[in-house]
Amino acid sequence: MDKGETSNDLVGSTSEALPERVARFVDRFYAKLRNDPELEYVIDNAIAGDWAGHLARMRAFWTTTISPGDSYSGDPVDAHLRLEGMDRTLLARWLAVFDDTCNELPDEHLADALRVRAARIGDQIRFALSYGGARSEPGSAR
Amino acid sequence: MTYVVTDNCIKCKYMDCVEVCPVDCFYEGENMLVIHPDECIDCGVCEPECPAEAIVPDTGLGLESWLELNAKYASIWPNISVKREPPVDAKEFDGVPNKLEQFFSPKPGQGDAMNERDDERGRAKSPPMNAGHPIPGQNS
Repeated sequence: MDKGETSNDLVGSTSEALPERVARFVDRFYAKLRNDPELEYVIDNAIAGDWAGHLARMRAFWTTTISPGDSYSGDPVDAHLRLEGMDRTLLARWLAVFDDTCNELPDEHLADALRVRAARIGDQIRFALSYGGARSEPGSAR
Repeated sequence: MTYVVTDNCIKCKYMDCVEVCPVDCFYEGENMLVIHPDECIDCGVCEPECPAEAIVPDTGLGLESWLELNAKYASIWPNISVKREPPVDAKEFDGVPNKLEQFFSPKPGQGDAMNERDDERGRAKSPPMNAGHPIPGQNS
C-alpha cells in the first residue's frame, strides 16, 4: 500500500453504504498509522507486506462491529498485544490516531460508534498489559 | 458496560448471536450461552439477533446477578463461535419465566470443540476482571 494515501479525506462519504464508509475510515486510519513517526515501524513490521489482506480483514472487522452480516471474527486484544513494543504509551498513541481519524468523519453517529468500540478494546488491552501479557500464545490466530 | 445473556436463553440457546459477534466472546454451557464481559466490545450486534431477546446491555436495572453469572461461567465454559442446531424443544421453553431457578445447568457445553477452531479457542482465555462474586441462586 502506498503511504501517500493520507491525503485521502473522509468528507463527503455520508451518502455511501456503511461498508464503504467503514472501509474508507479503516484505510485512512492505517494510512495515518503508517505516517506516524512512533507507530510506523510497529505496524509495518507487524504486517510485513500483506497490506491488502490486513486492510480487508480490518474493514470486515470494523464493519461487523457496527452491523451484523459480515463474517469476520477475531481477537483484537491479542492482535495488539503481539505488536512489538506494545505498552500503555504506545497504546495511547494508537488510540489517539484512531480518535483523530474519527474526528475527520462527517458522520458523527458512526464516529461515536467507532470510538466506543475502540475505547472498549483499549480498556481490555490495558487490562491485559497489567495482567501480564497476551491471552493466548503468540502466533495463534483466532 | 457490556452485554449480558439473561434468563430466556436457558433451554432455548438458539446461538444466532455467536455467528455475528466480531470478537468471539460467547461461551457455551449445557443449556445456555454467556458473554465474557471482559471480551465484549459493546458493539451490540448480537442483541437484535437473539430470537429469545435474552441479550441486553448490563446497564438495565436488576442485571447485576446476570453480569456475575456471565462473568463466572465465561471463565469456565468453552468458547463458541459457530452456530449449531438449537435444542429441538427450544420454542417450547421460549418465554417460560424463572428458568434460572428451574432449569439452569452449570455444566459446560461442547463449544467449538468439534470443529477446526478447537485448538485456538476451545477454552476460556483469561480470568474475568470481575470474577469471584457469588451467583445468586447458586451454591458458590
